[in-house]
Order: sequence, then structure tokens, then C-alpha cells
Amino acid sequence: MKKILLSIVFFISILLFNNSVKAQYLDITYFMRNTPFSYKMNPAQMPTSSFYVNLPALSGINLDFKTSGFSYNDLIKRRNDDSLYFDFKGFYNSLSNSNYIKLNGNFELFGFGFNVGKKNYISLGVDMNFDSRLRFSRDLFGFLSGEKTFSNETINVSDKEILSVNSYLSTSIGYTRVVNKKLNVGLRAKFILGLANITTEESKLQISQNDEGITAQSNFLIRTSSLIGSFKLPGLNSSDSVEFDINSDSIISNIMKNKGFGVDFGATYKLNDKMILSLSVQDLGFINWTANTTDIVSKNPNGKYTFTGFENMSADSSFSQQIDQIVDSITQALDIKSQRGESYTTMLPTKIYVGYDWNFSKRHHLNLLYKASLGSNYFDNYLSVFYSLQLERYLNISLGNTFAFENSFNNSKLFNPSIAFNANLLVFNIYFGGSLNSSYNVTKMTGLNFFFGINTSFGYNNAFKDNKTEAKEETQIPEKE
Amino acid sequence: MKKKIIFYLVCVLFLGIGFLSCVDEKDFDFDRMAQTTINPNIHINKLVSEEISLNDFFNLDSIDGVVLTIQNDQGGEYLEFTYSFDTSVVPSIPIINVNPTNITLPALNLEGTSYTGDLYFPTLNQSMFNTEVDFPDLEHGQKIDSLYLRGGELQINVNSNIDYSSYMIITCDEIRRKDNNASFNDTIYLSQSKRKGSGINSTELSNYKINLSNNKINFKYRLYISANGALHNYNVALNIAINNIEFDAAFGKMGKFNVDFSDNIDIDFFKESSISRFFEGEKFSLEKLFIDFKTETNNGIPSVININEFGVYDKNNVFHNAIVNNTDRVIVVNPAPSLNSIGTGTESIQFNVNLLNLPPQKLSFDASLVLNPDDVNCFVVNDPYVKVQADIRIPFKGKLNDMDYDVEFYNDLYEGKNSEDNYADYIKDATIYLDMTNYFPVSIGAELYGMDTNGNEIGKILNFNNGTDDVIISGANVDNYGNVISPSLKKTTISANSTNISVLKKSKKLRLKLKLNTSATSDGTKPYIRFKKESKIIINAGVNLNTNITINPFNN
Repeated sequence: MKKILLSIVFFISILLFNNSVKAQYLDITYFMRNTPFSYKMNPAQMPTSSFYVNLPALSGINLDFKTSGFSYNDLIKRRNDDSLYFDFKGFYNSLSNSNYIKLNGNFELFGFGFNVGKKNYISLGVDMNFDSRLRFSRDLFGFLSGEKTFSNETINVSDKEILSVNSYLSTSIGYTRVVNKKLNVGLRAKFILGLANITTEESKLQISQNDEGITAQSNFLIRTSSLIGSFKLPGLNSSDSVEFDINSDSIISNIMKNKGFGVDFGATYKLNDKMILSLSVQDLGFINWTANTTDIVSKNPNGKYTFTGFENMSADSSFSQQIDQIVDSITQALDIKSQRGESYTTMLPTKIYVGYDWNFSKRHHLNLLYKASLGSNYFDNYLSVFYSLQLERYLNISLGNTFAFENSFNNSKLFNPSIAFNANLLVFNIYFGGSLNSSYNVTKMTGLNFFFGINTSFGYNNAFKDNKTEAKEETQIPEKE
Repeated sequence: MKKKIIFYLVCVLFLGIGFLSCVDEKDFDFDRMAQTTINPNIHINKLVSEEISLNDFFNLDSIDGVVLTIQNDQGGEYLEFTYSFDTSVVPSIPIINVNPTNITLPALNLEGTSYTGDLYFPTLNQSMFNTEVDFPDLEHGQKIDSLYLRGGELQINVNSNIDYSSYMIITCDEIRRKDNNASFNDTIYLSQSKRKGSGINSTELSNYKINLSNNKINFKYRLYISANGALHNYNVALNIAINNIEFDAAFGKMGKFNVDFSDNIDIDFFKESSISRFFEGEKFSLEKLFIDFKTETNNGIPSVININEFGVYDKNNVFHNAIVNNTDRVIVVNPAPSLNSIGTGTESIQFNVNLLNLPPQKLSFDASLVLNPDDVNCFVVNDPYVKVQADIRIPFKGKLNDMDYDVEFYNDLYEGKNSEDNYADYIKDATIYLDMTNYFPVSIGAELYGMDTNGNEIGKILNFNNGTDDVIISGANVDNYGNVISPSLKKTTISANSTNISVLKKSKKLRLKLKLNTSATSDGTKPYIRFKKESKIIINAGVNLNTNITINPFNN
């Protein structure tokens, strides 16, 4: 019972208190320096508050759900009589060759930051991150809809990466330095403790057909690591079920096993009094997973079984006997098992930001943001345009659109509006917002992002105004001399 | 400043309301989820790879009572079915009862004389006395020349009033030992009692043979007296009896007589075998039909079998004569050439092959065994028999001419059947692709019909070759002798559209109609096909199945 409770608590914590490491449409907060998110994305962007404290469970909740381009309405449609129906054909046509459903989350556990003098800013933070992605084949829905006949072609039931889950605790310390009146630089170092990971190295399950028969081939290598236990797969032929062995006694001893390290660094450069150019790299690092590592592997790597038709049905072996033999052969060829795994390393999903902030009017800003999202098997590009109304430290309203070009999924979505709101009520700083993907209509959305937080902040650093002041101060010093 | 802030907040509020208007609860009202029909397609290029041989349909090797052999003629090998039955006739053997013979020797009047020494009567310089025992006349004019005995007794009894020690010597040249051919020779001592002398000897005859001389057995005898003083008048009586004669063989003229025999035999091969269906309707014709009469006897008697009637009964119990030519009604039975040997003979008669198309249900025959028709010298054994075996030989060389072969079977996909799941509901339409290589010299046409509860056909279930041709596969190519010289190849599609599926679901039973034709040569003539067990059809079948599945996960 204790183990069950522990595991439930563990998974709920993973699901609820994590940070999106690849949350695209939180990008609108890049230029909202009153929010902790902006500072996270570029450690050179000094927070507007001279001192802030992020409150546990309140200061940063970010949830991100996204698909590779399909929406609810692609699968379920409404008729004129308001009845609903499944449209597998439409859904199939909306899919690309590789599709995913992602769920990311972030929870800011604790953090604070403060100015050290006029030129330095130091911050400390602890947050939890979770991202998961389930990939599936378009072919399966082609089969269900009857659109795909599979004559003399290959069905990819699953391809390279069927499942990816990553959860970790990140403790960071950041330092921002005003180098001169134009240039700020920042660096954040992160010490990471991995909580759970599922990394799919290979998850091939193909069914191909030619004139000789139908061939099924598979190759699986899925690495897993968890603080609290390990998977146990008895094999397809076994009557035993899949188990997750919880070892609560080893949690404490394992807690430091999944260590990682990461850095964020960036710079801002003030082109003139109205324009700031910024560049940052976020989450450049890795996690080395060693706790309870378990590999789920094919018993026969690249094992295949070819069905060449039923034979000799009227002779020695009956139809049912042949069915049993075929099932046995398929099981033997494609069976998977769990085994103790070696330690392995996963890279953090790194982002590169290039921002442009134009304060074209006293309270109005035009922002451009390019983001590259890098990973082991993807390189996605996002270009955003935001308008921002900023009334000193008291109110910031931003809205805009992101143009998404996800090369890894051959997916381009041009309509991804975002909106964000930030109000600073003396000590309390409130911020919330979100973004929609593809459509305002919920049924046609391909993704949804929501963030919310309250923290306490004191003082005000205006990126434009303060620098001007500082510039004056810096230029005045020699005059005094 | 405050007004502006309020203005912007109001803008944000309206923007939020705008977002909320983008949500319509009806889009998520799953209680109104309608059933959704999906049509997944299952396409398998090679679902079945099968070789079907003739033996898969009919296990030719295990037809009850039928032997399958491979024969040869000028056209090559062919299969031949042989259906055998036999009967056995046991001719009667002669019963031989020999009457005893009493002989009284001439009186020896020696009263008043005296003599001491050996007295022979007749004297040694005279021939022995001779007497005959008559062998009985037998039935049917049988006259035995000799007998090889296996049992019997020769009893010789001598009575006299001789008061001295004496004995009787008896010999017989007609009775000889089997082993050394020595004549019978016996000495009977007369024991003395109350002035009388008598003696009796019995000889077991199993080691003897008898060679009759004009149906008689001649015995010779001589009396001996050991005299020692006064002599008297002596009377001597001799009795010879041959009892319980049993013989291994009797040689001579065995007479001329008939033994009648008849039988009715069910032909299970046609009554119960599925093959019999092929013979009905005269659509399947065989080239020839033979009956071999095989005779066997241990008797040395020449004989013939006169067949009075030989034929078959059809399903209506009507008799059909099988023998067309009357000369075929006489079958010669070869006698055993010598004692302890077997005489065999075979006569092959070609019968009316069309009788097979009745098809025959029962075989009936009535015949007489005529023994020794020419009344010649021969021999009969103690346990004589004449076996007659009739082998009906059917060379498996035949023709099929538009033979319709219907099979009816219950439809598991009948919608009226009490079944929770009817798999036909999940089928929208289907096409089966057959790629066949036919080494079987028969073309196969097929149609599949659905039948209602009254047995009426209500429509087709399958369409062959898009409805243009019901022939699934042509027969293999054959030569003039009916041998397969090369297979035929054909790709056939069998489809069932939604209408066919509808008929299928309404059909309680299905009727498969096959039309079979044997192959013709290149000039169009249809030879009698030499069917082979290993004749086969190689079938590679693929399927394209469009399913019809209705789902609604929100409605239980």
C-alpha cells in the first residue's frame, strides 16, 4: 500500500509540477520582464524588479498541450442536427507521416533574485519540469478509415520514437551583468536531478507486403530510468502482466543518481534608445540516468516473421493449428523483454532565442522573436511577432502571433495567437496568459498553452529608461573628474 | 492614466469573452454521439498457398473394399480400382462302405489219420487259396481305381475246430503300404479252447493304399497246423471286413454332376461412397469395365462354371444383366494337376461399363459348377473345394461432360441464426484473388447461391470473374491418351458486393454448384482421362476485404 501511494504521489507530482522544456508559445513572455519566464529564457534580461521572490506553488504554472497539427475537429465532427460522429477519413487526411501528442508542464517551486549594485543581478531558483510525447503512425488511421489498403507497401505501426517522457528537478543560480550601457550578459548554471525518463532509441514495428507474403518486423530499444522503481516485462508469451516494481527504500539512495548539468546564457544589446537586440541559449546540458535503469528491448533485434499464406489446411494441420503456429512464430519473432540497462545520457531540449524589442512609442513595443528548438531528432523554428503595451511597471499587455515551422514533423502552422497579461500591484506581481494553435475555435485548435503566476517583487528596472540613466551616470563620471 | 488602464482592462475582458465564444458545448456533447461506420480495408496478397490433390477430395486409398493399383498400357500408367468378391463351392466326396465277406474253406476230412509235423493247407507246393471282396458301386457313376487311405480298418476273423496249434497266413496285393508299396501280409494265430481254435486280427489302414482290380480286392490265404498225432475232420471259416474307410484321395472316374450356387452382394463402394455421385446422371463415363473370374481348386476333377445370371440391381431394385456375350457365361476351372497341388485359372470378361452409371447397388449371380463334364479319369480329395473370385476392375480413365456437382451446407452467417455476433455484418464487400496452376485435367466452374428457409434460391453470393465467366480454372492440357502434359494457369477473381452480402445474411443454407469437365486435346476431342492421385491444383489466394464496422464508444 505504501508503495502504491508513493508511486501515485510520484506520478501526480510529475504530471502537475513540471516545466515545459519545449513549450513554444510561452514565447510571448520573452519580452515581459516583469515575469519570471522572461528571465528564464534569457539570463541577460535583467528582471524589472530589484528584488523578487517566487512563492511556492504560485509563482509559475505553465501547462502546454500540443499536437503535431491535428485537432479535435479533425476526428470528431458535428452534423447539422448537432449529432457528433467520428471522421476517421478526415482525421487521416489531417495527419502527417509522423504525429504526436505532447503534454508539457512546469512548476516553479521556489526562487528569488536581487540586484547587487546597479550592474549585477543574482538569482536562485528551483523548478520541476515534465515533458512527454507520444508518437503514432498515420497509417493506423488510414487503415481504420479504409483510405489505406496496404497492398505492396509498408505499414509503419510505429517508427523511431513511440514514447518520450522526461521529468527532472532543476536548481539554478543565475548571474546577470551590465557590461556597459549597451550590453548585458547573463549566465545561469543548473544542477539537475532526474526523476523519471523514458527514451525511445528505436521503436520500429513495420508490416510490409509483397507478392510473397506479409512480413512483420520489429526492433525496440526503450531506455527507462526512475527513482522509485523499474519496469518488468515478462514477454508477450507470458501470462504475467506488465509490472512496475516499486522500491521505496531506495528512493533516498537513488535521488542523487540521475545527475545532470545545464547552462543558460545570453546577451542583450541596445542598438539605440528604442531598440534592444537579444540572444540567448537555454537548457544546454544533459542528464545522466543511472537509477533503476531498465531497457525494454526486442528479444530478437530486427526479428521478422513472414506470413506466406495458409498451407496444407486439409492435411496434417488444421486451420486453427496453423493460426496457433503463426501466433507463436510472431510472438517469438517480435517478442520484447525488460532487462537491466546501462546508464545513459539524454540531452536537455535546448532553445536558442534571438529577440528584437522596438519601443516605437512611449508605451508601445513591437517585438520580434526567433526561436530554434534543438533536440536529438528535431530542429524546429518559430518566428513570433508581438505587440506590447507597457505602462511602466504596472501593466503589460502583449499579444501577437507565432509562425511555427516544425521541420521534424514537416508541420507548418502560421496561426498561433498568444496573449499575455501582467499587472504589478505594488508588491504583488500577477501574470497570466496563453496561446492557441491554429484556431480560436477550441475544436480546431492544435495546441493550447496556459501560464499563471504570482510573485512578490520590489523596485523597478526599466530596460530602456534605466540604461539611459545609467548611461548618463556613466558619461557624467568623467565630466566630474 | 487610470482611465487608460481601465480601458485596456476592458479590452482584455472583451478579448477573453471572445475566446469563450469560441467554445460550443455542443461540440462536446458526447451523449449525441452518433454511430460511426468505418470501412477498414484488409488486403492480403497471399492469404492461402495451398496444393489440393485428388486425394484431398477422395481418399482413394481407403475406399472400403476397394483396392487401388497402378496399371500400365500403351498409353502409360493409370489407376485401377478393383472390387472383389468370392464364393466357394464344396463338392461332395464319395462315401465308401465295403460289405464284409464270409468265406468257408473246404472241409479238411482227416478223421482217422495221424500225423506228426507241419501241415499246410493248401500245401506249400500249391498256390494259396484266393477270395475276393467286392468294392461297392458309388453314386453318379463314380468308379474308383485306387484310394489313398487316411483311415479305416481291415478286420480278419478266423474260426475253426482245429485242436492243434495253427495259424492262417493272409496276403493281399491290392492293399499295399504307402511307404514301400509292400503288399498286405498278415498271420492270424488260432488259439485253442475246448477243442476249438480261433483268431482275429485288425489292421489300421491309414498307412495303406488300395488299388482295386475290377472293383474287387483279392485276398490269398494258407492254413498251417502243427500236428502231433491223430487228426480229425476240420472246418475253417474266414471273415474279412473293411470298415470306416477314409481317404486322402480317390482316383478313378469321379462321375459327372452339378453343384449350384448363387449370391447377392451389396456394393458398398457405390452405395455409400461420395464417389458414387459422380457416376449418376451419365455425366461421368468410364472407358472400360472388366470382371476377372479367378478359380482355384484342390480337386483333380476338371470342371466348368456355367453362369446362369450375372448382373446388378439399381436403386429401384431392377436387375440389369452384365453379360452381353453368352460365350462369356462358361468359365473353365482348371483341376489340380496332382495330389496336394492347386489348380488355378483366370478368365477376364469385359462387361457393360454403363452399368456403373446406374449406379449399381447390389451384385447378383447364379451359377452351376459342372464337375467332370467329360467323365474322365481324375481324382477327388477328401476336403475338395472350388473357389471362385470375381474381381471387378475399373480402370480410372474417364470423361466428365458438364457434370453438375451440388453441395449444400448450412450458412453460419445467416442472420436468423441465434448468434450474438454475425461476422457478415462486418463485411462490406470482398474480393478474393485466385492465382491457380491446375495439374488436374478437369475444368471447374462454380456458382454459389443462397437459399431461404424453404430451400429456394434467393440469389448469388459470389461473382466469378466479374460475372463474365463462372469457370474458375480450365483443366490441365492432355494428350490423346488422357495424360496430363502441362498445367493450365489462370487468375480468377471472386467478388461479393453489398448485394451479395445481403443475400448471404438472408440465406439459411448455401448451395455450391460445380460444373466439371475433363480436358480436351488440342483438336477438341475429349480422351478418357487418366486420373492420378497426385493430380493437384496449386492455389495462391489473396483477399481484399472492405469491412463495415459501426462504432460508438460513448453508447453502451
